[in-house]
Amino acid sequence: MLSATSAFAQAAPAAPAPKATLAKSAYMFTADAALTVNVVKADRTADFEKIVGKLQEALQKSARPERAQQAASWKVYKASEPGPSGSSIYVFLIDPVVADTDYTPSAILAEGFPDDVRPLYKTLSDSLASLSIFNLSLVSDFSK
Amino acid sequence: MVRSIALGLAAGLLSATAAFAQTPPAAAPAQPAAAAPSPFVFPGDAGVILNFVKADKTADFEMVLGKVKEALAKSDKPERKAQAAGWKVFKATEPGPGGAVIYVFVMDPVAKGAEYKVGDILVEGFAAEGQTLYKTYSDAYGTPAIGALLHLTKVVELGK
Repeated sequence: MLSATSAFAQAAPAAPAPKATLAKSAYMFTADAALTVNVVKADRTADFEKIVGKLQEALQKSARPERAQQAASWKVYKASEPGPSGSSIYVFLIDPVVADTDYTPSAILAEGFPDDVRPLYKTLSDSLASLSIFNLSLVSDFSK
Repeated sequence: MVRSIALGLAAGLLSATAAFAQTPPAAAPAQPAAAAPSPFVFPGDAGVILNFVKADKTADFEMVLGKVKEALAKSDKPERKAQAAGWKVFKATEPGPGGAVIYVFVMDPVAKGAEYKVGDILVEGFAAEGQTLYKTYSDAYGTPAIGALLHLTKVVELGK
């Protein structure tokens, strides 16, 4: 049904400490909000949650004001529904997005933990079965 | 490479929610009570629904969503107010299957115990007209109608 996108389903998260490239990072969100769906291998949920904790720590200890802004609207959820092969689905909900700010996990980890970024990134990468990213434009807020 | 990730609609993910992938859009109004819990009740902290809408029916879909908002706003039921307070509708930049447009319902926080059946909300708000609106809403859906319906429990807020 979604075979056209299957080539991306196994894509790994962005590599650590990338050099400047012409391509814009998928984690430079372009709309009002963003949703990322992280499918985590069944035996790696503890690893993934550990990395989420490291992201939180890195954002909170950063001296860069935009990192605090990012943290303020970034929530992490776990779905009740299982993923394929017993995997677990974690959702990052970022609402609102901080414009023109990079949410690449490896970059945030590199800032916060420069000496450990490679093993941390490897742990993150190894935990993921697939990843999807959605840029979301607000259509309606039913509270307003 | 990174950009390609953005386009990944997670075939794996969506097939993982196969139990919901064939679920009719926001269950029809006036259905008989079922033994199984409604997927449109969210017992955790939040909920997300990925709706696949035909590209040429987005105006219809958004029109009905406006009616849903109106119905929630004018309802005397406290749970409807609570639902409205945490319910946002987004349109994804990324295309869905077959050129469908992805509308994402984010319910955060959810109204505990409340059922997010669009059909019921429309009928509550607009009586017979609600049935017509629901048909317009249903007809706007692509195939499949719902790509994912996730009941979410909060793990952490990174700012806290």
